[in-house]
Amino acid sequence: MSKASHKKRGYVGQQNKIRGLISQFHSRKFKQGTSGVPVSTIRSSLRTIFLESRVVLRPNQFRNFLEWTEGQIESQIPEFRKLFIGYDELRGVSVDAPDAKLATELKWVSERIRVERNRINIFRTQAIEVENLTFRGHFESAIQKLESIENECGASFWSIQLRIALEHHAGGLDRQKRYSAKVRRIFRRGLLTFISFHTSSRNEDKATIRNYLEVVENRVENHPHYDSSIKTYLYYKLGRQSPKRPSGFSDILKVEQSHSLIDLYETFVYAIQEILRRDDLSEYRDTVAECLNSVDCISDYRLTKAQLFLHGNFEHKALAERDHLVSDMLIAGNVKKSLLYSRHYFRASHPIDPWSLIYAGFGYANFSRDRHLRRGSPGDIPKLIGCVASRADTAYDAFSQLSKLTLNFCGLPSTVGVRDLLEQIYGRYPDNEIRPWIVGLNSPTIGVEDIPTQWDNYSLDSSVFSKAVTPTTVSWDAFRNPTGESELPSQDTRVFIMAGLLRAKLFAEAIKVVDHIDTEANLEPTKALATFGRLHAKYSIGARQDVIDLLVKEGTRGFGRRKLLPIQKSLENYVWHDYKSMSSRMSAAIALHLLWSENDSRNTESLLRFATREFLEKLEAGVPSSLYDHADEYPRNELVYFLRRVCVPKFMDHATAFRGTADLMEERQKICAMLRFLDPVNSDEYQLEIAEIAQRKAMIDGQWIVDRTRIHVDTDALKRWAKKEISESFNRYVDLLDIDPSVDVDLDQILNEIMAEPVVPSNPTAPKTEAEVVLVSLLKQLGDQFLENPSFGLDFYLSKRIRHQSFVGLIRGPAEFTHLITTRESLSGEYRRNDHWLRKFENIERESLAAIDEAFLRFSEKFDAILGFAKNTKFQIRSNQHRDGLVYLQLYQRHIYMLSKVSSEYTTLSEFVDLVATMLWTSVEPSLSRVRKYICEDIKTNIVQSFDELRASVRKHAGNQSAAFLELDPVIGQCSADVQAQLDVAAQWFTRVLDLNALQQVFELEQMVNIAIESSLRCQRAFEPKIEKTISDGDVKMAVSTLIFLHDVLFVALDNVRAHSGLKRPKIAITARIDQQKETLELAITSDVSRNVDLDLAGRNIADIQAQIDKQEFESKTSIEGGSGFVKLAAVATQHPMGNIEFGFQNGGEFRLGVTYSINIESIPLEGHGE
Amino acid sequence: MSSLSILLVEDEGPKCAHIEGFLKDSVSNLHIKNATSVNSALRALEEKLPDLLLLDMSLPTFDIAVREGGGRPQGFGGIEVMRHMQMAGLTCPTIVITGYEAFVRDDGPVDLSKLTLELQEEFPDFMRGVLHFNSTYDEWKKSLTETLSNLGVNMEAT
Repeated sequence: MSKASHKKRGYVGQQNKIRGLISQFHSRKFKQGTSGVPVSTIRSSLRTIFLESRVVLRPNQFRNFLEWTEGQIESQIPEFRKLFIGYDELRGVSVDAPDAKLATELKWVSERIRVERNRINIFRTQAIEVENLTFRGHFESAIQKLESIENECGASFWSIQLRIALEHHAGGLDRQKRYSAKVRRIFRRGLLTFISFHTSSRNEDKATIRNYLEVVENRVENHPHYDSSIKTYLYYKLGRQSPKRPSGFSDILKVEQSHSLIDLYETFVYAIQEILRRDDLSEYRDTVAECLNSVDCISDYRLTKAQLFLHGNFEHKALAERDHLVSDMLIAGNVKKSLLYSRHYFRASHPIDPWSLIYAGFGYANFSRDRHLRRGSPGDIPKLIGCVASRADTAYDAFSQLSKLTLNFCGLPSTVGVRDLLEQIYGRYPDNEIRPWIVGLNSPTIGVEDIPTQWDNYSLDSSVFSKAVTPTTVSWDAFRNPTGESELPSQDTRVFIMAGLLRAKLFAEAIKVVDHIDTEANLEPTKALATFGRLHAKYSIGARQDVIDLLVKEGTRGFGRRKLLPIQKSLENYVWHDYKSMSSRMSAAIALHLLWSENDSRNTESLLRFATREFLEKLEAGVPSSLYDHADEYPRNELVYFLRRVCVPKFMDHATAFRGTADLMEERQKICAMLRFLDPVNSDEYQLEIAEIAQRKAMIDGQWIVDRTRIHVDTDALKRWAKKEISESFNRYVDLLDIDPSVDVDLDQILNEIMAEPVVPSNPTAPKTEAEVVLVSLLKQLGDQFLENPSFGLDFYLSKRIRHQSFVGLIRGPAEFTHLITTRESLSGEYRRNDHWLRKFENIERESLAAIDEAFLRFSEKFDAILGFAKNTKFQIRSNQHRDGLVYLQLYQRHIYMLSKVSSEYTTLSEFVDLVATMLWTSVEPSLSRVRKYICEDIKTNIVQSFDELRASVRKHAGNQSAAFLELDPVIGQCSADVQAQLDVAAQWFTRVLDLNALQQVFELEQMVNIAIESSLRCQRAFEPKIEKTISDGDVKMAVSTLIFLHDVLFVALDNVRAHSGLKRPKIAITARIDQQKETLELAITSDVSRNVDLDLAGRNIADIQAQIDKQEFESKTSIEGGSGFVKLAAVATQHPMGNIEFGFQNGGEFRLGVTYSINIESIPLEGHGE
Repeated sequence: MSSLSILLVEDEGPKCAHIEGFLKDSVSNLHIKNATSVNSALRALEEKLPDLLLLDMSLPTFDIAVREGGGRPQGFGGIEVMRHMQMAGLTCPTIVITGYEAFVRDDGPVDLSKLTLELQEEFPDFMRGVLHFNSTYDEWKKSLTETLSNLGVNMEAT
């Protein structure tokens, strides 16, 4: 069968389908308002026949078929067209509609529009009224007019989207939301709900177009039911995003044919305008011309303008001539008059011309005050354009508002025209094509701006325009003939020549004109446009250093200017060589920062760091603060930008002058101090940053102090013990020193009693006197207390500050946080299954899954075993009970000798104890070094091995390409690194602080509480309480000893809540208060408790602990871990009569711990160095 | 014969010990210098270019020490070092040795083979290979031996 006969049969077939549909309408089955076939089904069937017809029929059959169909409907079922449509045409999309090529779609749609010309013409007349009312701020009337259009033609996406915007301006968010909710209730599914919901969010005051488009993209791309044609359609409908390929326009037109005639018409206009805008679609322009001929019966200036564009000869009388009074006065330099006239113009009722909005806007730009319009309406468009063109600080906000307004009101042609101009001036590219006539496609008037430059034979012909020679026409003529000899009305008009030269790609000439403008122009918008012109020209000729220089100069002069520049597209292809060749390396760094702020790229970040480093290397001191003495050598705005934004730790930390974090922080403070003078407008901001860095430094110092005082012996308490227990022996020793008789004593033997390791006889001439025998005895007793006293000895602090959760919590933290490790079901039970990670491997074979499960269990077991062994066996005072303990005194004869030699100088017991304590610390140092080595080498190696085993095992069973493994591997790697870093931290705990300056630091109470909380939670990382603080410090600063005690209290309190509250995220209220009269610090920690906690059992445990504290039974608890925290706190707090501790459940079921600690506010005592 | 100078940039002690131990056993006449952060690596490279750079991927900015936590952690610190080399015109054969088989980036996870291709494309002048390290098997030793042999390093029987 021939193709022609097939199409012929197709034609008849489609006619038969129409006949069948009419019969169905006539039949008894259909009766409106009954349960028969609803009218929506008839409409839907008609849509389906039409969608089929456009591919079944030949294009030259379209008109006959559609006219025949319309004739059938009119003659046989005239009531069908009179039926109320309501929202019926937005019911859904015919998903099975066949695809057609773009040319076919355009021809088919144009014929459909031709057939429906009467309805379209009625719609257009009313739409112009809607636009008028909207721009004059008569939103309620505009809404009424929309309702009238809907009653006549049915609801459309055009009317709904416009109405949402109008409702928002008429009655705010609340009313807009009510309307969009009402629309969404009409059909629960389909595009109506989706489009109205997202249009509504687009109109919200706080919505930004960039974020909105991201959300839409995310929703559309991840929608399970939308095919690619619907996705393309939604991008157009919701974001006015033009498809990349012609097939995208076919998709949009295809989907739109399932909707209202109005939507189809508006989308048709959009498609033909896009074909005229875009050169890559020029092959469709002949089809467009054909289509425009088909719809010449439609009265719409947009179609007339499209014809004008395509043919170059048009019946100009079809359009009113553009009123140029505003632009004439503006170009002639009479700005105030131009604005006055533009106000008159907008008060009158006539179709809105985008050029009138634009000219008025450039008039406003000359009054460069910043404008903050919270919710600009379409009538504010000139003011917003003015703000953008003035390059004021709020220019970018105004630009964002304009983008939003022109999108929300894109159903009104004039806003589309404004949008087109904004794209050309402030588009993403530095060399946007300048085509003012594109704006005119949406203008109801005809003017010189609308004549494309490619019309070579055009001239200011009085047969086209009644007033051929005006400042406006002369200026635009200069644009069209930039090399000609135009008599310009003013220097500012040179900007037209500049644009014309750029359009003609005569860039060198354009630059010369820009140079003139820079020196001679008077109006701010002219200068602003000249900047964009210069960028365009420099970019186009490849003058890369000039482009960088210009962006730096302009970009550092304020937020508004910066954000309007096409930085990303200008610089995206530039390489290091381009920046390296800059005469000013500071400019290179600034340009890279401008680029990085836009693209957030790691590569740019690397370049930026390198450029900053290179620049700083050249400075005398290698640091930015040294620029202070040379501030006059740099443009102020560039210097301020560089110091403020580039010289932050993140970008300058590769500079060789900085050896560490502290250097960086200190330098940043100096920079901020400099900036306070260089940029006084933002002085408060810099002052705040200085204060924040100071706080951060205090936190770091505080953390360091907390960590360095974990190894501790309370020397004051040791003295008090000595006074009570060994005063007599000490006095005897002092007496014997005067006599100094020789005795025959085996000093080595006595020393061996003191020490865990045999003495190495290092001093053969060791003195052997009775005094020395007493001395050794004193030393032994003090040494025992120093190491093992249950209230103040080294083991007490080892237990309280290291073995008690801190160490295990710190090291286990990263593994818990990443869910790599699980806990045991009971103290000696099996480890819990690692469901968190195993769930991700659920697609692999059962045996492999079991093997991975086993690998995780083995990892948890080994990890905890390593830490448990270290804590229970190695971090102990060596004794019979702990033979492998790493901590013990190493005293040698030389120590005794030295002590005997110098102790005669000390006459009081207190001084003697100080001396002995110093010596004991010296002798314990090798032990601490051993522990550090053990952590950094043995533990670290074993722990890393356990991570590597886990990795290897999972890899073996899951394969190294499985998605779950690829997710797990970096987590293991990072966790391993974090654990190693924490082991380094823990190793440093075993270092006794020798920096006395650090211990003399003072802290505010709030700083102390923050340091203590942060430090405590660092050791309980998977625990996430919600903490509220109430702090009243009375402006008092306190010494390190208070910080340490406060940390101990909060650590015990938080650990207690973690272990016993039964909640993962309990609420904790911390109150800290200083009583200056009593000289006490009062702490109260109140926390939630799970209802599952057995309060009776807990109450009994509390009573037991309280009893031990009351009886001062500290020995049995203070060297062990678990259930001993409160006893350890009591051991310290109650050493002073004012000290106190109380704890228990409150009436509301919360648990409360209250501690009172004696502080000496005036003298600021230091732990171990006071009183 | 002059000794082979290697700059080993690695912040993890155990991994460093493994690699160093293997190299000392495998290559005679060897001089190994260590750097444990991006900045110390940059300093060492600018001071004197080694014959070979062995580079970890994830590094701290500063050397970790008492009262120094290392500054900004750089998940791709190795790339930062190589970019610096490229911009500064410093060229020496470079091998990346990483414990990771996958990396997390803003655009999603990237596996080692993809990263290798990207690195070879970005640093064609000096990137000689990317090796995966795991202390529990010897694959990395084999790969390192092969890569070093390809670079002309005389490897003793290992």
